[in-house]
Amino acid sequence: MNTPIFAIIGVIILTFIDSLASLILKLGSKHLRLKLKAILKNHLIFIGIFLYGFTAVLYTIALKFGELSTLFPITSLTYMWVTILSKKYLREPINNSKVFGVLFIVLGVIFIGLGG
Amino acid sequence: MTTSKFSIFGIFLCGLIMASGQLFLKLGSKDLSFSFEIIKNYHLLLGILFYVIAAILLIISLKFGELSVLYPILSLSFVWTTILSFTILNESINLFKIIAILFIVFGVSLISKDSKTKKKNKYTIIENTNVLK
Repeated sequence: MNTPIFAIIGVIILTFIDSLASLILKLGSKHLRLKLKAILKNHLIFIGIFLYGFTAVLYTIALKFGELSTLFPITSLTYMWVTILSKKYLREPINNSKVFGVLFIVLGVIFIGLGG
Repeated sequence: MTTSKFSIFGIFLCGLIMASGQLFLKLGSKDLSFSFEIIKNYHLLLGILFYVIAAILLIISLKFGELSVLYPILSLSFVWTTILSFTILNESINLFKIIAILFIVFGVSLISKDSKTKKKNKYTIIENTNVLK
């Protein structure tokens, strides 16, 4: 079974949406209070959770068209996007250890794909 | 913004709970049926419950730390999944997977160690300059 290019591009887009979901959850967590009313009014948290569920469903569909060993390592791109988005929108400092840390994680996930 | 030890531990735990949830989903997927019987599929329900707990823990932890530190720590769930599927599901393990575990653990330790040592001097300076802007 070969993996069609649209499945690969689709999963790349999904990783980006996934990282957006994390960014939105992080922004929502700022106003997090342990009161039911406050939680229900916290739209960002619901949008973040919805996006996570949305990508999970679409990823499962993408897996129907392509091989897991090809598509799974691509999901590690999420870590790269999250690092970029954190710097751009949350003004978090990015240093060498974060860059190399993410690089090692991506390599690790690729190796899981190779071993699978 | 600094990252508290509490939030790093929270995300660490979150990865473990996610991997356990995945294990239960896998066990539940064995006897998956799309009928009313689905509510008797305890493995499936437990898997979903674990994911909900993980999501709550994730959101609380994110409040107390940097996203660029905490999110990569979630990748430990891959390590747990590999270990759990080897020990409990008797799936195969090979050199690639062992190297993968080492790489991910090393990557995570680089990111989380850095957040502890440099946060006092470097981060506070950056935060102060942001205030000046």
